[in-house]
Amino acid sequence: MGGVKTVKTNSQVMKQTSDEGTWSKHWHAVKKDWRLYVLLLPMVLWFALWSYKPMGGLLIAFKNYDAAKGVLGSDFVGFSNFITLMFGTYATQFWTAFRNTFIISLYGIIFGFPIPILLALLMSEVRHKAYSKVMQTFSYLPHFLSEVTITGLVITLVYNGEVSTGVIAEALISLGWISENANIIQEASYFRPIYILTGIWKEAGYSSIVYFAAIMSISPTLYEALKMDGGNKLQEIRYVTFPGMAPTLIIMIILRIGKILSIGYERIILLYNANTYSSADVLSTFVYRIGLERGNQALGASADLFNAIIAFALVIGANYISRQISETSLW
Amino acid sequence: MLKKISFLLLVAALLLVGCGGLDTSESDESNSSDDEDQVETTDEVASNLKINYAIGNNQRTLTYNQSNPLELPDGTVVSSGELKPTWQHIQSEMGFSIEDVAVQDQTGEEMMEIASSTGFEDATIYGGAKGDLYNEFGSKGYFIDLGKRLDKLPNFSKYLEENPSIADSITAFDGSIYYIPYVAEIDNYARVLHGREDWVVALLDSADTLEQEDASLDVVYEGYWDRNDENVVALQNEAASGGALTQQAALDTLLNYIEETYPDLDTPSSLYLGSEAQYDIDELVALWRVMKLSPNTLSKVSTGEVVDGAIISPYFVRNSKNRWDILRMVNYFGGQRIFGSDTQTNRYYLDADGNFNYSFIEDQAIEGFDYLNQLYSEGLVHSEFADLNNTDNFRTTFYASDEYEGQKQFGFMTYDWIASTTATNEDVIAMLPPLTTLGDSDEMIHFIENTRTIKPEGWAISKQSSEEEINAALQVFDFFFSEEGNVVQNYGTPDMVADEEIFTGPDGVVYPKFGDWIIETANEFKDGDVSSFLRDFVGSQMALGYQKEIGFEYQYTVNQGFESWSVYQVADVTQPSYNTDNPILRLTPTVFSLTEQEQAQLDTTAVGENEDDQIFLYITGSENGPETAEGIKEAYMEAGIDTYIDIYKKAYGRMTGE
Repeated sequence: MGGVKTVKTNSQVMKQTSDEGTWSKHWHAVKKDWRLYVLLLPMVLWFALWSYKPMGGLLIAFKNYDAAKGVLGSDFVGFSNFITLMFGTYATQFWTAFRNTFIISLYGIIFGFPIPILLALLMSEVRHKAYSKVMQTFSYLPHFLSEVTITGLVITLVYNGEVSTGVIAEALISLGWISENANIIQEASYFRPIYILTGIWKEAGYSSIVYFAAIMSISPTLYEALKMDGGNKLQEIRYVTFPGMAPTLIIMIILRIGKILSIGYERIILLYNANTYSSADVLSTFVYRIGLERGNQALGASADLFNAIIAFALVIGANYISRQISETSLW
Repeated sequence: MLKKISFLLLVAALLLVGCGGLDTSESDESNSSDDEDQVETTDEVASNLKINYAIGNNQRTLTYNQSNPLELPDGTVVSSGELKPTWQHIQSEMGFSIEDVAVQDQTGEEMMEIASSTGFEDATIYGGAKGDLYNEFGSKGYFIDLGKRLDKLPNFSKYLEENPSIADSITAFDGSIYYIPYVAEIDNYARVLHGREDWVVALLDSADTLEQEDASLDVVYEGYWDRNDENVVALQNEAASGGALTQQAALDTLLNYIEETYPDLDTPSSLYLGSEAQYDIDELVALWRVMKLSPNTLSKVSTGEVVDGAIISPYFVRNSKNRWDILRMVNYFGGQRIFGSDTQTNRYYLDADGNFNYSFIEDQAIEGFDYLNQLYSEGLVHSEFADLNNTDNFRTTFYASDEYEGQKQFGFMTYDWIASTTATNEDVIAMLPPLTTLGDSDEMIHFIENTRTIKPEGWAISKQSSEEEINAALQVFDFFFSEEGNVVQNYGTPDMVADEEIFTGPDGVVYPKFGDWIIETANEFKDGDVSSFLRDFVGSQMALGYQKEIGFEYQYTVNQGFESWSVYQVADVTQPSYNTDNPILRLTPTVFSLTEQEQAQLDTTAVGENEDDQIFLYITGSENGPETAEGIKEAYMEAGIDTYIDIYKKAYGRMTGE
């Protein structure tokens, strides 16, 4: 078609000009604020190397992984690992872990999420500054203790052995809430309350910082206006504080939902035992056992990938719902 | 704009992933074992040898990691970060330097995982991992075939000729030998049953020592044997009022039974004690019941006065990690084998017809777990033996703490090593195992399943090393099988061994004798635990390729230790062995060599700790465990035990040529 002359339409020319204009604008923006972009660079690199590059390792979920052959060199097995995991010999353990992950996380949201908010509200109402600071500092402290220390302490407190009985176990026995022979650390029905309460004790104070900051950023004039209108303390909380905190609350709940399948394994591994697996084993502990203890990394990776996909869907869903009902969302 | 920048970053990151060297190792083709024949051989030895010996404990590596410096017999001082004395000695003997390149706290398995992803290039010798990993990576071409280098391993070669069963055990499926194992004192007794001698005597031989007892127990177990006219457990059950047995009823029944069944015994306690003991598991249970019901008497025997609230555990294990030792009692309900070798993970045994079986799912084992559940529910087994949240050393609590203020827990019997167990309490002595039948035979024999075997741990040489480095590594490997190297690894460097003195063991064999320095310094740094001292401070007795000698253990035997050895040696208690014609007594390998396909097939099964846990949940009567003992078998079946057994059966067949 050598004789045919290609003619650009007006719209094509306009798009090209517009594209050139956009790129040029971007370039000027970068050039203008290049110092900021340089500051951003380490973070971008950090994400690229530590968050995106390792994603390549997910390939082992589809491989008969052999460390000596490497990720790419290992034999491709398709969805075989997922089938073994969900419908094969590991099915019972996997689905138990999956169910427990949801339940424990849900309990965490129901019981654990409101406590830091409540704590922040209470702290914000304390007028004695020194007292407030001391209390806040004390509430943050457990966050800085290692999980090993925390779980060691919990086990000591609730253990009811042949000769040694922890203070909490003793108190529960005295109150008649548990039987004299009950060793609650060995009973599946007590695991979740122990886990959730430990988590609240450890993290409530530290998690309240963000809510406290949100409360502090609310303009005092709003409170004054409500007072002038005759509003009481509860109405202040309802009509000023909560609406003022709403964006923070929504973002925090979306993030929390995103982590619904990402329960950390440390505390659970340190607290659980064969008696409590039925209510304690979660996906992360399952992956730890399969991937690291048994050395079946491919199966561990499949469980983790499945976990991540569900978590991703949950974040998208929560974000969408949030955008629909409150105009606040992550993106 | 931000969206576009984000998109670009994502693309860049993905590109990074694509080009990012995920394939960290070269194809294994370059490592095929055929290459070894083509290597130009040389007798030159490298000037430096890198060893990666990782054992998950920085105290037990080649490097001295103690905060206190150690002054050796010749006055030289070893400080933190230097090679341990044994390794400094080996270094000077070999004529080249040794470099410890291990990450000090890394386990052998972690080390292998990481080293494999970089092609085993960071060291010449890899040690501390288990043999199956050396076989796995060896067959993929990462370790040299020692079988082809036997000309450079004259001492080891001679050792294999003298011990063909060891050669068979370490040969991989492809016929190569990729590692040298740590070999314990084969055919010597290992862990045995111990008990408090004074308790048996106090309860059975004299009424004067008895205190008023108020305890009672609900009987559940009904007895197993019918070899005598009457079964003592059944008699005790009859004597129990409404199912509740008192101490008086239990003791009287047992004493009457002994008198009628064994009229020729000097004393009733002779049924249980010494090398003439002839009790079976039912008679032992009858005694345990009496003990459980005698906390006042027994606490007074051990402490000099009645301890209010004393708790007696007739049977206990050293700690909850050793919960497996409860299962060893299943042997005595008709001779069902439980562990095929000296490792808790080896449940493969040969039956009387030579068939390869997995013990935990055998009907007789399941029945045995049922009996254990009954004994546990009677309180005859320590209530916390399987509680992994409890990390206490029960042996210390139950045997070695009698004199402590407030001590309330006392134990009678455990299954453990002679030297260390008898050292805990001077009244503790080895007891013969209960009589049982075994295999097809109706003869009642004393059988102890635990014996000293080829250990799974060992070391291997990376094929990535230069020929000079390989020569240096082979020299070290062979040294441990020389006369001098054997002494160094078992007893320490020459100046730590007593000059011109020998030690004669209870078996009549002579051994090198520890010098005073070892004993004194072990007392100073390790409370007299010579074994830990040699490992943590000196660098001997390490779990790498050498033959361990029993003379070491004899020398730190105290109290009733020698008498304990004698009880077993005189009675000639039957134990498994590599060299026996009776299949049911034959030790199965500690390490199996699986092909790549078998390994992949094994990965589709879920047989593991979860299924093992069901056994302990059942024995302890947990509501989270199976409702019946059959449920244990079902859990294994669901996890794919059939496939699992088939794989190991094939591997065993390959190893034995059957």
